[in-house]
Amino acid sequence: MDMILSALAEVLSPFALIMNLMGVMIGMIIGALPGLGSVVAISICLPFTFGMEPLQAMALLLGVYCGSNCGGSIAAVLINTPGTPQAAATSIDGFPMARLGKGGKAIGWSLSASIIGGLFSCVVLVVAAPTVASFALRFGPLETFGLILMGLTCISSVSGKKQLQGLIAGLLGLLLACVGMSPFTPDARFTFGLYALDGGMDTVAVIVGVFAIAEVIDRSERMLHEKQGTVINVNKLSMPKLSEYKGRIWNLIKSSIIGTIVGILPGTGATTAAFIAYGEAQRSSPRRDKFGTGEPDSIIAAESSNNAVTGGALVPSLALGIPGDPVTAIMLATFILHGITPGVRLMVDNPAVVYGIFIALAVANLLMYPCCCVTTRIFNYLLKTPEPILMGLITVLCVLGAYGSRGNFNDVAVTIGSGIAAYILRRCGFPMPPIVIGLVLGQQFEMSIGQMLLYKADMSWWTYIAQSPIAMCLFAVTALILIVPLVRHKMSSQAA
Amino acid sequence: MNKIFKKMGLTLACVLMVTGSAFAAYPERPITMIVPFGAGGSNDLPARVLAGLMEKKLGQPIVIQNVVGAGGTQGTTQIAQAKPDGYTIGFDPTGALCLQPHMKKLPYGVDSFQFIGMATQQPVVLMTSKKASWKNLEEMVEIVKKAPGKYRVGISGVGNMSHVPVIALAKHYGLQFRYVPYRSTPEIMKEIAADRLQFHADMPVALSQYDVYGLIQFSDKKVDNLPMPNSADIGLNKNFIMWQACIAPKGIPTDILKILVDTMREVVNSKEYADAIHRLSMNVWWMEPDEAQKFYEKEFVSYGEALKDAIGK
Repeated sequence: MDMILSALAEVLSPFALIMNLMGVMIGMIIGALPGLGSVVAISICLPFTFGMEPLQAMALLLGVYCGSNCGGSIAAVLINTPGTPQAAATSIDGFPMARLGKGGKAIGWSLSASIIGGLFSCVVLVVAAPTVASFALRFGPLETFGLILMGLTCISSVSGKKQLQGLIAGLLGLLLACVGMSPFTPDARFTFGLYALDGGMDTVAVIVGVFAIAEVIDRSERMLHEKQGTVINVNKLSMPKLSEYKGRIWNLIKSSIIGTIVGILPGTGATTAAFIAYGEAQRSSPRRDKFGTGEPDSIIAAESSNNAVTGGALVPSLALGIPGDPVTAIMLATFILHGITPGVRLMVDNPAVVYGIFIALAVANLLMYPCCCVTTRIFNYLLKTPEPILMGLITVLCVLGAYGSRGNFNDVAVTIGSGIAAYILRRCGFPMPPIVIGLVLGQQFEMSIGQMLLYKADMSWWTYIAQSPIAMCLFAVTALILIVPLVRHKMSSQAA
Repeated sequence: MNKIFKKMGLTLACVLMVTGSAFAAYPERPITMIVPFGAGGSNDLPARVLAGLMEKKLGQPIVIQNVVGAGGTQGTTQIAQAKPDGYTIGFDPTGALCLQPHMKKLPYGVDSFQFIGMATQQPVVLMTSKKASWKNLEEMVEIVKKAPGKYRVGISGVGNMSHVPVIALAKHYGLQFRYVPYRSTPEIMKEIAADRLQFHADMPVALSQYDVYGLIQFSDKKVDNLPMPNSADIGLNKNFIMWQACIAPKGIPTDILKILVDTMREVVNSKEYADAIHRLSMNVWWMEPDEAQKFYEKEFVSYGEALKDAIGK
């Protein structure tokens, strides 16, 4: 108890609190800029942590982590260009809502969902980290394969009525994920002999192209023959009332659980979580028919889950010393620089630091509210700039973001190329989110298939799968997800 | 008249020389240090330590640029293709310099770089879970021999520093492992904790981070803080030492090179640097550029042979 109080005192000390606030603010602004995501934000802040106390450094980094996760949704809602990959699912309903003049409300939904998702995962982290961490260990290649297979079914749920186009787009995403060096042989694939492609398709570069650049081209084209484009008048951030949450609470909790679990499992991340939760909401929400036209349920699912990843990803990081995503990997490296050894003994040897992290994470989630108010206001000014200038600005940011993600010039070409290709596909009626789902899940999908085959070796498939109840569950759920709508459809058509 | 021209010419020459040397006051703008791996990793942190101390002495910031992709070859290519003016240098480990060029066709090779100096070195260590049924190398060899193909080694890429040393060891004892590629060390460590994988070869820093212990260090010299047998003890005539060097593109002017070498020598031999590097569980290693260049050429050839031995590439 003493330990908790002293950690509380340290995290709430002025300097640590300011660091936390600055972290959230920096994270939110960087996250809101298209192309610049969590990893970039953390890398920018990393050098400043060298001179700080460990907890102050953690307060800054955790702030950046939460802030960037939430900030991406602001751009997704207001200009239809997700600031971070994990906000891609938010734009599906956030932007239509903003178009109806309810941009402030949409951001309110996304912010409240983010805060609650973040706090939920924080509670899980505090209460159950050691127990839950051992659950992460049970996820081997076979289980990961099952999870990703389930994730891929989202392709169907985000495609709506355009199933065929959705599937083609998803396949395209999966193919893009295969470009570059094969993880299993020392050969490059789909590179057409271009050395520049050996590094593969950077997820950030492609997503920025597919969403932001394509949107810019689309608007520029509309500017040519429309006098007045759709100007979004945003207004102040307005939080939804508690009564409006009625009937959506279960969706919120379920999405938070999905986000936390996906966060706990190494190898996946916030983008995967957002799409799985979106898919789930799309299946179970009583308002699913309105999805895509500005339905808050979809925003709640995407945002609560992608922010719940933060606490989840910290579970294996703190309990086992195994980071759940690239951002927590950088955080653990910061520990080492400060002479703290992450790993199974962290909680025993440095409980003060661990408690401090719990508290700092919770505080960071609460600080998102004031920071989001400020950032939304900044965006209001941005939106008042004439559209051609705004579009130019976005393009510049996209190019910067694509370059900054890996420091590679080739990625700029990838962004612009994929932007043009995506624009053409969009005009042909292809939905864009499946490309992203395919690309984000594809790399890990291929990896787990290859690993699975190496593990299976000369066992029969039956004995291999029978060893893992988790995998069997995941396969069964996937099968249900695919079959149930068909049965339902059949029954309703028979009834009619 | 002629005299005046001569005088004017002389003055002009003098002025030019003065301004010329003023222009040559290297460095007059920030220097970029390319690190071909992600921020916060074991190749990034020592680079940041080195850059942080060097920029204090040079009076100009050294900006770390992480260029990630294709096993470090994308960033290393950028170092090799940079303008050799001393404003782009790089921090590169063994793998990207010695192994990757043998694996595939790359825009750089053994003669693309000018070494500024060596920064760190540490032997590759074969690690296994503390809960494993063997307690040392001999027991491990005995148990693994009885069950060929049963035990699995996690590698972070085909033909890299986590793969080739284990193959050499397996050849030496006639062992049969299964090699499973993963994307990162943490993922491999997760599988080792879950006993899906049994072994992983990596830098010693992982020993203090995860619940594993070292079976053997692939070096003919023993390192103080690594209590385990080395290659010489078991008669394995192979060294797999991860070193990290500060390099520049070939053709960098000698006066600029000298400034960089002098600064780096002073930093690497300082106590501040040593403390920071030890905190990362690495060892300080200084080598003059000429020596380093020769050492690199030797390493390049020997890794080529090791690879040919290991996977016939």
